Amino acid sequence: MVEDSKLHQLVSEMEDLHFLSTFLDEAESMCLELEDALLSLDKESTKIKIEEVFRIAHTLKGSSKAVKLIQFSKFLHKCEDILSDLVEKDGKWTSELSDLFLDAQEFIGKWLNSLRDDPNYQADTSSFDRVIDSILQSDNKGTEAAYIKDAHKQGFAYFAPPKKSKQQNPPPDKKPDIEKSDRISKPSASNQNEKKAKIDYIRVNKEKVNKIIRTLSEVTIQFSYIYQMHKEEKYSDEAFINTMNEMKKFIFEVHSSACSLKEESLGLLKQRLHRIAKDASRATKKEVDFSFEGEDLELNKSLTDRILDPLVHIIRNSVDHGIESSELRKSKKKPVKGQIKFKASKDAHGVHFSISDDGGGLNLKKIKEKAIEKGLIDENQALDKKEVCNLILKPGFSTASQLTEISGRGVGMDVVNTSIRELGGVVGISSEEGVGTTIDISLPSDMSILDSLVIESFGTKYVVPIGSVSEIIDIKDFDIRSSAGVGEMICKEKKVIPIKPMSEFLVHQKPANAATEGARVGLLLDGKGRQFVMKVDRLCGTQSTIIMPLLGGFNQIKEASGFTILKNGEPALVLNTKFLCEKFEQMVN
Amino acid sequence: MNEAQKIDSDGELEGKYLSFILGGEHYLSPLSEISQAIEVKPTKTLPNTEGYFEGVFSHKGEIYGVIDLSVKFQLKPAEQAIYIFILFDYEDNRFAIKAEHARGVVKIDSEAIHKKPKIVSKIPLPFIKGMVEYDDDIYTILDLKSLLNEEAIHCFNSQKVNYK
Repeated sequence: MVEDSKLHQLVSEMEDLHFLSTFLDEAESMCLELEDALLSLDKESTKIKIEEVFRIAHTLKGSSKAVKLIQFSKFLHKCEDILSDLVEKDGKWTSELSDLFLDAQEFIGKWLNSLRDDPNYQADTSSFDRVIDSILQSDNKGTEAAYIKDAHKQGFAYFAPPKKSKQQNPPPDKKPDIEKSDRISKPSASNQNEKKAKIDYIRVNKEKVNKIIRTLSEVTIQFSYIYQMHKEEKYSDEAFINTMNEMKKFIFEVHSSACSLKEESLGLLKQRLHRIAKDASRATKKEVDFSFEGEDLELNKSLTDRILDPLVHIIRNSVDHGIESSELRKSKKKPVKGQIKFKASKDAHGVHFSISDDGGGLNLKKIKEKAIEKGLIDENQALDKKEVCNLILKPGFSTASQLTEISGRGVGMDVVNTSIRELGGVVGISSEEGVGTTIDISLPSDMSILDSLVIESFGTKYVVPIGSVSEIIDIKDFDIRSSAGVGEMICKEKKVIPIKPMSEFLVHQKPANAATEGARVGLLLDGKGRQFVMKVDRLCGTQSTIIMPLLGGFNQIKEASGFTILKNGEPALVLNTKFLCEKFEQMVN
Repeated sequence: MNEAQKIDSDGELEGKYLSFILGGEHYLSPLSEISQAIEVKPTKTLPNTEGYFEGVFSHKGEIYGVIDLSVKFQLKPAEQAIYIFILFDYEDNRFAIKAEHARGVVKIDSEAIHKKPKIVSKIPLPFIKGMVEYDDDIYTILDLKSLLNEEAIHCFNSQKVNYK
């Protein structure tokens, strides 16, 4: 039996925990807002932007007080003081202040994380306090900057070991090691077991939900018509068919809107990467301009979460190894500010990211030497430029001649390559010495709806996105010639196009049916720079297909980009024509 | 078993095992690792896969791959079997094992399990968790989770196709 008073205490403790977790969810998003505001302030300083930072800090302080996080609210109160001083005196936002606040924001982020693991966590703010107090006491702007600089020299001793609280906590990093700082500090093993599974929430645009509800009510109305007609057995009425068609349209609409619920615009990714570029350029003392294209693109949140780490790695690499130092850039007559361009796009085959810098480019000679030294290639092996570039993706390869704070762990692009491949994607590198490097990442498509062609080969049905087939031809209209080495080909519009049956690419152990004799359907596919014809046994029609990503072990099937369910309920593969074209090329050459 | 039989998940899963037959032998798999057992569904074969990968089927909007362990481990198939699919659903991997007969759920005391089987088995040792004597029969406890993890990667090997 639990005594009454104890029970009361227990209940109130549990309530506190519940409030705390709500606060942490809110605070985490506010912390990100704060980062965004600080980054924008860093680009251009206006009073309104300073006030925005102030507003966020103030809200965060208020809500932390409500959940009895006294130390946390005191810390924010101090930050707020600096800001209110600045607003009152119409002061200028210096780069020193920008650095201090960005560090403070990072510190707050880590603090919130630690609070999630241990509600009684106490952070050591003493080093921050010193700097902040000195700013607050000083009226002279010059000394203020000097104080901060001084603190920087001391190596940002903000992250001192925490005071021991009830639960054991992992020691936080002692200095802002950029490599580690953006990772969530992992609780110790024993702690992890005790921790309850975190419920994942997604923030959803209200308009999206409204749209789904609107469309669903439309579907409901259509259904009641259909039901009525079913009762009266009026199946062949025009009205019945019309209603069915309407309903089909609405159902697809509901599906695509429902899928978009899990999608998020890339705004947050942009912010994170911008921050990484900024931090890395600060640490390397290089001037870097980061631009982001495709911010409005919406992608599944789990995908953006999983792609973040590799992208962070690439951007750090670009700043650290790609972009040259200011002096070197001046001597090479390049603009002093380095450029890093990030592009995101989406098409029938999936999502594509491209990160390019205008830095020194890869040193092909050095890469080749290193690869020979590591035994990755043979000394006399002839490799073209692209192949040499892609050597750095091989496991155990790192060219950084000296280890640096930013990306100096001796692991490099091979880690990026591995994680992208785990997601079923491909990495490609192209580089021009002295001009820059571009890294392309392609990931398989998310769940989406595509108009597709259903085809049959060896008794198995496949789906091909219509957009990836440039023409459907009747092979009977062409003369098939064959030549040794290349195999069969046809002549079309004065071009020689190789032709192969699909069954050569998709081999069945136990085919359901033999290939149909006299099959005459050919799909004309556009490869890189040349066309191919893929012979299939039968065309079965078109359908709007919902494409499901290949998960788990299935992502080893490179010939396909997803699964779909056909009209008769059977599962079928969605073919990746891009991959098939590449293989076609290999077979023909 | 005419209806899809959902594994009863009330109460403790600890110490409970699903008993099934493969190649005439008795096997067990911890209930906690299994998501469901259903009657066989027609499967569609996939290209460029190993022979023991029977195909895929869709179940509740998800695609499951079917691995036929009796082909994989060259076990003697039964003459008259009532096949069932045992579904595994973890992380992103969705797989089904084709078993000859599901006999039901048994409760095994963890102390009764012999950790290191000394007999020779057609199933590689890493995938065997232990052996147990039950109802005058020997039952082998399989670690299907890690087996599926490994097989999932091996059975779809695009490299297998000879792209000359």
